[in-house]
Amino acid sequence: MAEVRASNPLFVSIDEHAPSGEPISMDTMVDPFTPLRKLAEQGPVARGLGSRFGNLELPNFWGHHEDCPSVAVLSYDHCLEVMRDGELFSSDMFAQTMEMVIGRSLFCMDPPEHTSYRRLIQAGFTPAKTERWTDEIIEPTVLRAVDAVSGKGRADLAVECTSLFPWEVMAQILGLPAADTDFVADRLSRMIGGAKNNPVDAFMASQELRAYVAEHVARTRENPDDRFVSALIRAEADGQRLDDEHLAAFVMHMFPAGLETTFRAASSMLHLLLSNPDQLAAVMADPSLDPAVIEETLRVEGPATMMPRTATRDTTLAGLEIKKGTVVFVMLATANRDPGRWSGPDRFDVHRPARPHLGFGAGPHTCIGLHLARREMSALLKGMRRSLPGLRWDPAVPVPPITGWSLRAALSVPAVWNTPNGV
Amino acid sequence: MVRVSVDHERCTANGVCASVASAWFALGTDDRLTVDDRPVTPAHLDLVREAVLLCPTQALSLIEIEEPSRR
Repeated sequence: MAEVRASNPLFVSIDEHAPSGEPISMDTMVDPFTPLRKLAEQGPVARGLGSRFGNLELPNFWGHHEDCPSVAVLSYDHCLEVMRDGELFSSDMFAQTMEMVIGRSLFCMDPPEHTSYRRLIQAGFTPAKTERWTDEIIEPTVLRAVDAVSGKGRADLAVECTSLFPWEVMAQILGLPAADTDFVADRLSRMIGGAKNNPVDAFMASQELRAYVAEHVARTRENPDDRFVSALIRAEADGQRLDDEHLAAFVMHMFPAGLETTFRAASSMLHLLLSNPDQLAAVMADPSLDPAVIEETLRVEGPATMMPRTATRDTTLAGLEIKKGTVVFVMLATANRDPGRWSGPDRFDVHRPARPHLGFGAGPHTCIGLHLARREMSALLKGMRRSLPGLRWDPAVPVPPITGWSLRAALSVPAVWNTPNGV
Repeated sequence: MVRVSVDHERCTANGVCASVASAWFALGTDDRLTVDDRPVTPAHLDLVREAVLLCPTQALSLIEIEEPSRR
């Protein structure tokens, strides 16, 4: 099992360090919510310097200057206010980091560039388009992944299931030839996994992957089909179309944005259900609870705990003056557990009244793959109900916690279930 | 009272509104948004307001309307 884990890129980038270089303490990795809530008790927006907010050090994975004034936005309403205004609160800092590796795509753009580009890409991601993937790709792939372990009666579902199907789903959506998937998986593994330990190799792998993706896009342009990449090639808005470079950058963007997040959310969903056996029993008996399970998972344990922005001009937020150039940490983790919005906000409760959360962000940069992610999670619940009866924690192993400071996940979900021959 | 107004030029069929307040918003297979244009009922008002705020393209707004005269 250790080998499976070592060869899977989704498990490699899990060590987190503070900007000072100190590893994040295990206490904070397990529960970042308590120190963040202490900060929130002082008000909806806290002032800091670089990543430092008093004793608390927030991550700096997008490379802002540590002597730069900063704020942490902690309440639901103010996080929403920041995320809705993509002009005032820019995403340009990603241009110095992620753009170097994967090319210029939606994540680092601001309006109006973002608006026209997103409109074109959105054509491939509408609910009706993702609905088509459900029967053709998502359900068969996810159910196959669940069925592959079901006969064993015991598995680490994060290692043997949820870390595998997001990649298989994406390879089919992109229409990658089966013969190429090993090459792509290898470069992807080196790109995501090597980012910290072997940045030169990670960069080389990313460039090889970019060249491959560019070829795939050019090939699809010559031989269009009715799949996703062709739909993007055909997309037109206001007389504009996507050129090959933008299209290739977006496909590159889909790898980190669509694989790791889906794996993390799906694993955490299983973890939360296994940790709440009454709710798991209710969900096993009643598929109509599935949407609530998915949304409640994304609220309490959404993969991303924070999003960075930069103020493009002087402004005020919650009455606080904010200077142009201020780094703005949008703290999704506290917004989604805002006690003014949810009662007992730390509790996972699939029966609570539905209220929107910021697990997919908000505003112009709202996760473009949100329907895809929901459908993969929904298919996993269907597979669980069908093929993993009596699902529960493996009593032989201590329950591993959900961990993460900037990105959270249940990286291990050791479970047992009933099989016809008994476990 | 309020009702919802859609700017179809801005709407790009993200489908956020329909997932937040499915009683009031629906996207067709042609990606065209259909909105219930009656006054928003009190029972739905909170979620409709949230859907308007969460629209990624700010294509939705609430407009004040006169109370319809009764009897």
